[in-house]
Amino acid sequence: MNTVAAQRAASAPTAAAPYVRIDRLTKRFGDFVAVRQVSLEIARGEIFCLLGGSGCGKTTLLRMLAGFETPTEGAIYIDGVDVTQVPPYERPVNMMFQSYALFPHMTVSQNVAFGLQQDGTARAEIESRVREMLMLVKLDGYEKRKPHQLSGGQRQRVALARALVKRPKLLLLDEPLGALDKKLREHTQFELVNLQEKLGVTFVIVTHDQEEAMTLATRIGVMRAGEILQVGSPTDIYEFPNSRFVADFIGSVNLTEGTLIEDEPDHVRIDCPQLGGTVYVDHGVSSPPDATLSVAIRPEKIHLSRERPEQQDNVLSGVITGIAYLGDATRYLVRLPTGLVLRVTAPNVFRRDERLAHDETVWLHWHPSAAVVVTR
Amino acid sequence: MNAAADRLARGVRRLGAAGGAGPLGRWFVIALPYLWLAVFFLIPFLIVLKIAFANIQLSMPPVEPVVTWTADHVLQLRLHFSNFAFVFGDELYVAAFLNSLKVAGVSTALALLLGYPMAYGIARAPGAWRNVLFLLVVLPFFTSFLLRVYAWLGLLGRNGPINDLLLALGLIREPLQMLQTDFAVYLGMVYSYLPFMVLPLYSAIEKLDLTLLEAAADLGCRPTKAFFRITLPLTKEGIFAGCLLVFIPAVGEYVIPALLGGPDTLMIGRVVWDEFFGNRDWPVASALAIVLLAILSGFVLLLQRVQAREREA
Repeated sequence: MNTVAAQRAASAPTAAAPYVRIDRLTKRFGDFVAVRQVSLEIARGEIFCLLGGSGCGKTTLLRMLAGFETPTEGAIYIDGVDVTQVPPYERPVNMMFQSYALFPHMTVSQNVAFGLQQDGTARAEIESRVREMLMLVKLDGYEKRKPHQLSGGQRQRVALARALVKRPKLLLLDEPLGALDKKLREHTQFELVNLQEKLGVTFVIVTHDQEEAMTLATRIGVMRAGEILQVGSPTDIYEFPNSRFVADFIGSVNLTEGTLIEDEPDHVRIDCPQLGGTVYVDHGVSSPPDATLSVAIRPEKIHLSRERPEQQDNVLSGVITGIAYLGDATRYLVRLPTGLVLRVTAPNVFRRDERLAHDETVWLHWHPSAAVVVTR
Repeated sequence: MNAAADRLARGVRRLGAAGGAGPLGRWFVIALPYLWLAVFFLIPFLIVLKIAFANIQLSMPPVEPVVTWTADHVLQLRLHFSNFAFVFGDELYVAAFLNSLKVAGVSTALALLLGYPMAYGIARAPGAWRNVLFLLVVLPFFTSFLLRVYAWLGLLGRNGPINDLLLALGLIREPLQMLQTDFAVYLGMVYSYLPFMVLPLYSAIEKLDLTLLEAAADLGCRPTKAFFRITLPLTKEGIFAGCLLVFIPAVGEYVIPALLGGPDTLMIGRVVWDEFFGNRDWPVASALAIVLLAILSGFVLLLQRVQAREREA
């Protein structure tokens, strides 16, 4: 899955003028603030993912981009034009709905042609563009079918074709893979990215699925309670989360609290009573002294061994209380003397291995760069 | 009484045994309405059909028997087609049929034009309001149909409140003649049958997925156009159902044209009444009823075929 992300990161446009600019956007429903003072810039050709749990405001933000909701405050610019008050049917934006919202009384080609007909495109051109689009999503031969005669994956592709045929400046996708089963999902993820590259359309995707976000996005915006907590590439979000919430939301993580006992520009040492020791981190932390910090360590960054490792710092010992063999990796639960249980993931590099066993006492260690210190 | 119930129960049990699969309850549930229809619709219909082929005679009932057992032991079936020839031959009856279809058609169209926005408004009203508005549509059924038509007699009369109001406002000098006009008939028809139009329309519109309209808007379709391209086609079933529910009873309507219409409001329901009670010509009245039924069945079948073709496509 990371290959696609890497591929996307490599082809991401550099420092272009923002194509979509969201300026201090707020949306209230009565007393409820769905989106709070969100500012965001999205470059041309990007795949931007809004990631968050249900009710975090990501869908409301997307609907404001589409024009279905009017912002309470703030403005939206697309390609330099203020579209805040522009109705949806006049925006250069198309959306792929979570439910696909295909017109049930129209055939596949009528569905795809619908948007072009609204623009008064010539009949011959409509036909050729619909044909071209259906080829692109590999649905040629299905023109005369009605939506109810299609499988879930085919419907998803019709929805995509219908949204893309107008060559929108911006394509909004609401949980684009949500209704597909797992196998189809993985396949479609790659197709979606390929299609995006071919057409060069800017994508804004809303999802609650972090794997989907990691795979598809050039950048991810993690949302909670109407606010964007962090914006960054999938790697940034995963390796350098800026808050406990982001660290915990994306992937699996061991979180513990601690206080600074050694604060140098090139390293810090944090006392973590829950770990029963100190954590040495090879980078500085900007935090007021005596503040409570959170230390986040990803399970795959902790190494297990039977022998005591040579390094002095970041070494602990514990007892294995749980083992889950997943094939490619094994997940362990290791209980420290303090009672805290750490999650550790180890790749299964060798086919035959003397595997660690239940109740075995093991040593844990991690690299000075492995732990992330977050202040909020 | 008890014996009949026993026999019915035994019959139902036998049905259940014959079907093999279903439990007895299911057969009972299916059989009961059919039995009801057989007793109160099929048998009366066959009687009417029989009378339609009989000859008139001075007796009670005023018809010759169709099936007779003659003295020389012959079972005789005599079908008189003259009644139907008479019905189709007489311009009055043809005109009555055509006028009934016209009045019913116009009333249905008016009810649709009025009912669609109503149903749409109710379906799109906020939750709490929806129930209230829905209740208001059904509320007239709390009063007898006949009473409500009678009420229009008072409202539309020369000295009724409508004329009084128009006079008071100075819009008219003389009271308007509203009763005994086609206007009153249409008014009565639309008023009486509007709920039958609104209810199926409401359920069709309420089912419509609103994201489809958002999708249409997103693809550049303005709201008015989206109504005609998305909402209207997707609520067609409701339109068909509503139109049938209004059109069919409206064609044979008797009370409204009799009370609100004038002497020249010629409708088949009234003609049947006159033939039956006025002229005591049961065979012609029955023949008229059979022809009316045939026409309406034709409409229903036509509509069903259109719908079936729609679904296949």
